[in-house]
This record gives sequence, C-alpha cells and structure tokens, in this order.
Amino acid sequence: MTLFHFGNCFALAYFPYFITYKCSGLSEYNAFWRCVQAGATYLFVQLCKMLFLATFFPTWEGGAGVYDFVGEFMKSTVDLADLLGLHLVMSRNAGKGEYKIMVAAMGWATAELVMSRFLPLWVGARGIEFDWKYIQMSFDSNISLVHYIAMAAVVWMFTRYDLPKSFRLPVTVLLALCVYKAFLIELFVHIFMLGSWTVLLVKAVLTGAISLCSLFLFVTLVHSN
Amino acid sequence: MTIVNCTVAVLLMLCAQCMHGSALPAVSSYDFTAYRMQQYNLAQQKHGCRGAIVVAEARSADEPSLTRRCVIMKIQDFTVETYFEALRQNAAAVLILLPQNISSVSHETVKSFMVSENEALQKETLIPVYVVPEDEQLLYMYDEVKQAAASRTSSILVRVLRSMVTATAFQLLVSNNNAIKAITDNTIVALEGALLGTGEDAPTIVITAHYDSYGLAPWLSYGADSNGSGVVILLELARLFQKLYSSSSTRPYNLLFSLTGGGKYNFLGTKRWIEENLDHAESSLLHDNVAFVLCLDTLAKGDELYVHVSRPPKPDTPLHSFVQQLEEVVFSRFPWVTVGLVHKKINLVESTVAWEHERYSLRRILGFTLSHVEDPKSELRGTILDTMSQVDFRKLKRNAIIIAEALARYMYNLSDKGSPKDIQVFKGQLDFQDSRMSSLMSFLTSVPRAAQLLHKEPGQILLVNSLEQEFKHYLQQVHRHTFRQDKRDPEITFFDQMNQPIVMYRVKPAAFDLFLGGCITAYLGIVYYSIQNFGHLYTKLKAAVKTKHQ
Repeated sequence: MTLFHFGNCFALAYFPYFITYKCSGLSEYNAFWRCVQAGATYLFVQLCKMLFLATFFPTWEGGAGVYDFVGEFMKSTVDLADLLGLHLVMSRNAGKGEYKIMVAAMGWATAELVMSRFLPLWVGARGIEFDWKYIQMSFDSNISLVHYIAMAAVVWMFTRYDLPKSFRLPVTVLLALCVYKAFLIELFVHIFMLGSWTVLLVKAVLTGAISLCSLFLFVTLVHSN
Repeated sequence: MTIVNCTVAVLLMLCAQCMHGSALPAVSSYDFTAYRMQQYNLAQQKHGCRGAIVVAEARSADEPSLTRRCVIMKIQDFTVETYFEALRQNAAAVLILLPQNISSVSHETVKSFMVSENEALQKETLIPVYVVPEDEQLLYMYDEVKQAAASRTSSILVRVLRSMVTATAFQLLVSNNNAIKAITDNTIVALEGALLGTGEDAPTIVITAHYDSYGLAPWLSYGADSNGSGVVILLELARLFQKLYSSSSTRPYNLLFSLTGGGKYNFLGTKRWIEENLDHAESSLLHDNVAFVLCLDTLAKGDELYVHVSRPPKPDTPLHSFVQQLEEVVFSRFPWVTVGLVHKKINLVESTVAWEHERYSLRRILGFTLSHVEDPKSELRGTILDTMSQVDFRKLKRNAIIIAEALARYMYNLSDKGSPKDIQVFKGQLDFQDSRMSSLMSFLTSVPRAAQLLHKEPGQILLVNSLEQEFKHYLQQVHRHTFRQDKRDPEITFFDQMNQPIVMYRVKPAAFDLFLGGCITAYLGIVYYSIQNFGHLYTKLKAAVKTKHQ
C-alpha cells in the first residue's frame, strides 16, 4: 500500500528474529558467523532439493483442482534433506546442545526469511493496492521461526548416542511431523477448503503443539540425569 | 559465478512458491477493460467526451461530494440528474456498470436509462465517461462504495472506527497516459446490388438501410433494432425477390438494394453513395426513372408503422399508391397495427439529417422511411441497451411481411386486377424464414457495429465482407464503394482510446496504517516479554522434571 505498510510488515516479520537473537544470548557467544554459515548451508540444501525435484518429479499435469496426493507426499519426503542439513550444521559446531540448536535454527530460519519473504514484501507491500496477504506472510515467518527451533531440537535429540530407548519412538514421530507438517496442512486446506486466516491459525496451533512436545522431551532428556 | 546464479534461481523459485502459496480468492488489484463514451467531430463540431485519463478514488453517486472522484453507477442510478450533478461537481470520471443480461432489468429502468443516455450524448464534456459490463469484482466494489455512502449518517464512533479499520476504498487507474489522437483515415463502406427488370426503361425502386450502430459507448453499441432490423429485412427482401425474379415475366421493376455505413452521422455513407451514383457513374439506375426510395430504419418493435416523408405524397404518384397498398395489407392482415404518415420538412438550417430519405430528397429523388419510431430524435435509435435480447422477432417478421406484400402488390398491380383483398404472395416457398432472420440478427449483433470500428477491427471487417458475400449470393451488379475522407477537411473525425484497460486497486485509508502499526507494536511487545521470560518457564519445567525423576 505505502512504505508505511511495508514498514509494518517488515517489523512484524523481522523483529521477532532480532528479539530472539538478542535475548537468547546468541549475541554473547559471537555466534553471528556461525548463523551465516548455517544460512549458507540452507541455500545449498535448497539447491540440491530443487535439482532433485526438477530431475525426478515431473510437473503435475492433471486437471486443475485435482489434488495429486502421492506426488505431494513424495515432494514432502524430499524435505528430509532439511533434517540432514540441520544435522550437518549442528555437527560442525562444538558447544552445548542449546547453543547448537539455536545457532542452526536461527541461521536456517533467517536464511529462509531473507530468501523467500523479503522480495515479495518489497514488491507487494509497497504497491498501491492493499492485501492482507503480506501481514499473513509476516505472521507465517514468526511461526516458521518456532518451527525451525523445534525441528533443530528434535534432530539434535535424534542424533544423540545416549538417547534412551523409550525416547526413540516419540522423537521419530516428532521428526516425521516436522517434515510432513506442510503436507498435512495442505491436505487440510484441500479437504476443508480453509480460508487464509484459518490456515494461519491451524499452522500456529500445529507448530505450537510440536514445539511444546519437543521442549518437554528436550528438558526431560537433558536434565533427567 | 555459478553459486551466484544458483542463489538467484533459489531466490526466484522460493519467491514464486511463496507468492503462489498465499494466493487469495478476493483480489486486491483487478484489471478490466472499460469502453469510453462517444467522441467525434462532425464538421468541426465537437461531440461526446473528450477525456480519457482516470486516477481517482471510487465513490457512489449517493455521496454529496463527488469532486475529483470517480462516480460509480449502475444503470438504475444513471439519470439525467445524477449525471449532470457529477459533471457540475467536476467528478474525475463516471463509470457506468452495464448488466450482462439486459432482459432482467425492469422496463422503466431501461426506458429512463435510454433517455438519460440520449441527453448525455447531446452534451460535450471533458470528464471521462466509461461503460463497463458488470462482473463479480466490479459489483463487489459497487456494493462497498454504496455501503460507505450509507454509513455516512451513522454515529461518530462508528464512522471513526469505520474509517480506521474496516473501510475499504477503491482506486481506479487508467494506465495509458497517451493523449487522445484523432483518426481521420476512417472509411465508410456502402454496398449496392440490383435485381434487373425486363424492358428497356423499367422504373427503379431503391431499397436501402444503414448498417452502423450508435450508443453511449461505441464498443457496446450492438444496434439490434436500430438498424440491425432494417438490414435483416433488406436481406430477406433480396432473397425473396431474387426468387420472384427467376422468371423473366415477373420483372416489372429494377430493384436496387443498398446498405450504407455512417448512417448515424447524418447518413454520410448515403450522401457519398448518391454522389457517386449521380455525379460520377456513367450509367446508374439512380439516374432516371426512380419510382421511389424505400428506407428501412428501426423495425423490430412496436405495433405502429410510420411512413416518414419530407413532403406529403400527391395522389397518383408511385409513393402515394405504395402507401395505399401498405395500408391495405395492414388492414386486411394485421388490423391491430396502426400506420401513420409523418411529414417533416427538411430544414436546411439544421445541421442534422433526421432520416435517410432526406438525403435522397435533397437530390430530388422521391423517398420515404419506414420505422416504428415516430420522433427522429428518439432514444431508441442510438442506445447501448439495444441488444438482440430486446428484439421482438414476431414483430420484426410481421413488419417484413407487411413491407414485402405491399411492395409486391405495388409492383404487380395486384389490387387492380380484382384479386382478393387478402392475397398472399409470400407463402410456401416464398415465406420468410424465421431461422434465417434470427441467425442474420445474431450475426449482425455478434460485434458492435459502431462506425468507429467498422473499418479497422477484424471482426467488423469480416462482418462487412460477409454482407457483401450475401449480396453477391442473391443480387447482380454488386459493388462495394469505399469512401475515404478528405484529409484536410474531414466531414467526420473519430478518436482513439475507445476501449481502455483500467486497474482497480483495493486501498485502505492512511489511518488504517497507523492502527495496524499500533497493533503490531503491541504484538511485538508481547513477543519480547514472552521471550524474556522464557527462562522462567524453562526453570520451572526443569524443576518439575527433576522432582518427577527423583
């Protein structure tokens, strides 16, 4: 709409990242370059995913409105590469578990934010026309920050050698949920014909649930012995 | 280098994915094509609307202040008062929404719109006036601005809240900023064809109609009644008389058919065609022994049939006896139809030519016009609501039968020979075909036939070519006359930008941005507070886990 509107969206999208970075103590560890490295890994992983998708998944040529269930599922499966990428980032950093998780998640999420949200905001939110979708997009970026922190924590737990047997199942379930979350939400949208605000709410609730579960598991694992 | 390329690719793809993922059903910007009001100069006299550029906020016609706003009207809002009020207040533009299906609109609305349209076309204006067919998005905009106008009278609290939070405004923008250019290279096409009679000096009957249309916006002038009906009847007459003329004993007269363009602009095409025939052609059927000229104009409605003449017919002239035949046919077969003779002298001072026969009368050729319209300035002769759905095919056919029967009776002197009063010539093999008449009509109304468009738009060129083919199929000596204008002193000048892409943007008032900014600051405060206090939650959780473990 105006530059003011762009400012609003920008603040909504980026300030939570900034606050998280400052308040989580990452700034005291001098973790900035580590975050940038994590971001670079993000880019590399996305590129690999894209090459893979372009090579092995032909574009869906069914009629419009027909949902390609299997195809979408397979595409979400490629997101497993994200887990590998996060693991790669965490394994290259030495330090405490929280620190590793936060660095990987912050770098990853920020890279995604800059790569996929900045240009649409710059192009769209400054136009004459008003659309709620830029505000929604900014909210969505907040949700995805929480999502990546939870995902990094789950990956970290999964790759520990001293993970108790009883933890194996819930952690695996959470991992699967993290990877297929986008797919599940899309399926929801398709089945229930949700509006854009409802989708955002569903996303927030689902992400909140996943992150609470992983937080609980994390605390139990780290502080139980 | 490759890394940079890849990064860009990643970036672009992510962007596209992101944009695609969040596409909303309600659009924030919407492109549509609107059709501009008539603009032409007729012999240096300016007519119509001389503006095209619009950058303005949409307003309902109910609002008290319209200055520098684009006024949105449905056809029921478009009255003489609202239109001239908008002009008086210096509105930025007027946008009229035209319903897709005109037959669903009440008769009174149609009537009042036509009258206002006619009034609006009389007056020249600088304010851009556009007409656009209704669709979902435009109706949504109309409802929104209407609601805004309605909430004007509610309490101050509601109004403040509305202006800050819920109000949606619409900005209309014509992206084409070029100045309007005059078009002087337009051409007018006239078609002629004949059925030749036997005998050395057979008299000639000229049957003619103009085929162009006129209305508020050229791109929406389909002109079904005026003058699609005349063209349909003329083509049917050509077909039937061609059958009658197959034997040499039934050809008492030469029949000269002509279809002319420019009919809505003082019958310019007719004028040039007569000049071409009388002044330039070596031998023309128009030169000598013309019995009369029969002009067909607006014949698809009503139970009246008017014979318009420029001087009352004297007894024993061909014109007089034809009118007698016409009355007899009507009396014996369609007694509910009234036939009236309307006499209007040609006023040489007046710049407009009311009827086509006046062009012939000026050259001392006797002629008359048949129409269901009594007043030559009637709004029925130039309106965008004159579409195929407004045509009454039974009445069109009835009028065609009356004309054909009267013509046949006149040509073959049927009433003199003691033949029965209700003799029918056109029956059986020679009957009018309903299917052909309706398909001709739907073909003629498939594209707008405004004179501006006929010489350059492909659909319109095809239409004129098809009319020529139709002539060649039934008539002999078919000629196509293309009249160019004098470059320095054109009789008629048209202008471009008659169809214009317009973008409609949904916008919010500036106060809304402030409101949103406040909300976002509050949200960020909550986020800050909860992240600051995340440590407490973490410690509590830790303690809970430890006690449980022990």
